[in-house]
Amino acid sequence: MTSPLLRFVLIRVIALPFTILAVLSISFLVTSVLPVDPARSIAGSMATDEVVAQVRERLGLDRPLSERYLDYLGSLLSGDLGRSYVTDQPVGAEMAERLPATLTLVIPALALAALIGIGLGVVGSYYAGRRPASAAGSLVTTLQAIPDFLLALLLIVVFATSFGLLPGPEGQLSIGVEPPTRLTGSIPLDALLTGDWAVFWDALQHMILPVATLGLTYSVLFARISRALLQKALSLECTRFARACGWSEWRVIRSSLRIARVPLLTYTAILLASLIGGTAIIEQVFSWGGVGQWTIDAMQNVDLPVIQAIVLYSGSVTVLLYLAMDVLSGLLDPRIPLGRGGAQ
Amino acid sequence: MKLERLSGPKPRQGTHRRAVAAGGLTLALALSACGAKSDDATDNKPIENLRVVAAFMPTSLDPDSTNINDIYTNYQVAAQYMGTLVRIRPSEGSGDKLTFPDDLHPELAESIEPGDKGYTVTLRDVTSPAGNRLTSEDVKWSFERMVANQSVAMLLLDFARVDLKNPITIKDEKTFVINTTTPTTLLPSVLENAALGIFDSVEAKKHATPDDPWAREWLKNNTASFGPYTVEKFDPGNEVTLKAHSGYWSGSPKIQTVTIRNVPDAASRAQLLQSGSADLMLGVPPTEWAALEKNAKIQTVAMGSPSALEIWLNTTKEPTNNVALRRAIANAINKEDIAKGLFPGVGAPVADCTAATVPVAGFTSAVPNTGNLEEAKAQLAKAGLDRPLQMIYNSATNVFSESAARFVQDQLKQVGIEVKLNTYANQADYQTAMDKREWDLNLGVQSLFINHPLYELKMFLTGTSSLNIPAYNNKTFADLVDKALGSSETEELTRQACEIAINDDVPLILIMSFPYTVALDKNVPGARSYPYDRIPFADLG
Repeated sequence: MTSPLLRFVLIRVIALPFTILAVLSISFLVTSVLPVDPARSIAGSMATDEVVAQVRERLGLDRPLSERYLDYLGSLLSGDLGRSYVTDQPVGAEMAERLPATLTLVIPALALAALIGIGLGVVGSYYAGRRPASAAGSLVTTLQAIPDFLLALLLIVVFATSFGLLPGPEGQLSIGVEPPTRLTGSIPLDALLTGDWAVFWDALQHMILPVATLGLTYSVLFARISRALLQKALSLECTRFARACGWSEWRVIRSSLRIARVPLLTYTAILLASLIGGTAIIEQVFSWGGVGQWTIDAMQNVDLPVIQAIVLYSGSVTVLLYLAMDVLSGLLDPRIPLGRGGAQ
Repeated sequence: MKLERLSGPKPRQGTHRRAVAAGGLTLALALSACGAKSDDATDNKPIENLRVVAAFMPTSLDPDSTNINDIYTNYQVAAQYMGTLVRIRPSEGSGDKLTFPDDLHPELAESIEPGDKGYTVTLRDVTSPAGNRLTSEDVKWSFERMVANQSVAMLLLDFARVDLKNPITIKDEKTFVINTTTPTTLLPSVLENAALGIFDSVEAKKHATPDDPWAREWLKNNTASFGPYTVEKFDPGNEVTLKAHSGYWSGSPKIQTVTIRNVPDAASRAQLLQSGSADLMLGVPPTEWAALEKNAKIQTVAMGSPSALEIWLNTTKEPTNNVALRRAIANAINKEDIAKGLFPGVGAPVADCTAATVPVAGFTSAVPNTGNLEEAKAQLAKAGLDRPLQMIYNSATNVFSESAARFVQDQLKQVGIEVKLNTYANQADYQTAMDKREWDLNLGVQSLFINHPLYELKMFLTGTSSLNIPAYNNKTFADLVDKALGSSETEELTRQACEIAINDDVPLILIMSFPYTVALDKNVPGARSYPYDRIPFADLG
């Protein structure tokens, strides 16, 4: 007899393609019925109507919607995401080129957000009603009030322009610096793996401001949720009992974090999914060249294959992350029911 | 550090604060040691490696790509590595105006002589970075490629009356004739465009295939021409590095390496320039101009550019098909106020006939730059107007559009014309709306590929294509323009055409010239205001 966890995973994995199919079908339909003419946009304002018609025919935009949809599904099954209307490059290749840049920002930013946010949450809950909690709360409120692009500009003005402590928003490396040999696509990681320490240090410096921007922005969410969870955990009977048994305060806090870990992990997954699709503004400000900046360009140019690919990627990542989250939650907390099998 | 419970004693704060302050100071010192830049600019040494930040980066190096977006984004870069037969070299003291043919100089051509059936060109002794000598065969291959591509270059050749079926007749290795279907004086001004640059066909043909006889795939990521630079590295959409051609016919450029990086955000570009991470910023919007101008380490240059803010009036439907209403609108616009408001000290009202920086001799606009409210009201009374006008514009691609639209709306309101604004956040939506022709007024920027008045008059005010935004249809005007294109009396005929279009019929209103702005480190000598919208890096340093 299969375990409930395995049954749960199997059900979700079987449902996964249907979920993704629904996502990309909706995205295909929405982008296809937009009241714009990509052929005109691509051919340019200097093109005659005949040239526009040729472009439309070349891109297959003159075919019925159902035919284009089936063609699109068929291409996806063979791993072909189409070609960009703007660059005429394979979308899959462009995605592979840009995704590592986004992940280079997102993963450290999330780690920083968790560190700062949970730290502020601990202070806010542990010192509830006292000055440290007020200070933490004020900091959280201030960070929440500042939009991410404004925070980015402030950090640039202070650390780059005024004091010259860090590089400005010129991208992942200084202008003219040769990137390392491409292994993973992530510049700092590739530099580390190839032993190119000068490039590694340059890349690390360029990461600081955008990672700090994202980390500080998203730390607010961690701070609020962790404060609420920890306050609850610290007021539990078991916590009072632990103190009565002589546990140190650090141990009490660690134990409370363990109680709160499942909701925190859930939040992490949600934020990771959000970050992976939501770094567009920061990438634009810092000229990062990742998927976010690519999204903005694609929307501006109504580059339909790229937009569809980005929706597919965002949707798939979200669904997979949530699946992973559910499985992890089930493993960490046996009390969580998984499907009809229930807790064992 | 020991945590105490809520009721316990508090830690000594003084020690804690000192530790934090010491840690912060150490961190700041460490970062400043690592992050501080010591560069040529701050050390006042001549710059050999120029770092440029721009708002765009091409995804293809082909100056005549079949993808129009590549041509728009590559305009500045291609001008650096493509050798052209002629080049604009404005005379000293010419200000923002160009004089043709005085300001056109042979570049790859040693001489270019007009004739009845075309232009006879003699080439200089020039070698490409690949080591191949420039010959008539290179020119023939390049022109045939332009025709085969059916892209912008072909449109420009057609405009210049080049015989597209047989563009080049070779006389000898260094002499050829560019064949034209009618006599024309415009060909030289067309030939200076990078899209009509001459390829090193020997090098390009090595990478041609039976399926790709014009080496389009290879030329997307590589260059083969006779310009002062060659492309050393290319990261499509992100960065391009140019290397000086040591064997360039007029001497290797002083700046040996130019790296151009795409930094889409204007504030970010300005930050990089001010912090010393970049040496030159291409495209300075008004929001950054004032601050950069005040910076003692930076020089700002505004160049007369064949670009202008214009209002196109829909001549195909009521009420703007009424010429009296169009004249009323033209007279209501105060161009000086708009120029001062949008770009103080830099923007200038257009009193001329087109966006080109080549003036139309003898032409005077019927409407003064400050407008004429009395005349506007009189024309409006004659036309009558019973509903608000719809004005469309694209707010995404141009920082001026929103403010300009508000200015126009306010000014027209003063004479009793109500205007409703419809903004579009991207070019595709805007283009679709333009094509639908449900608008009355259309506000936008006209940028000319060829810096000549006849280019705008012919391409954008005649014919039935979507380029003719106002759908202007006046046979007398069209005939005059066609005649001007092939006549020795070009100037007088152009002036007559301008009188009909700009002063009488008013299918469009030119408001403000759009300077091309750059900002660069003061240690980069050689920058000057060129009355066309490119800064040749070969002239810097």
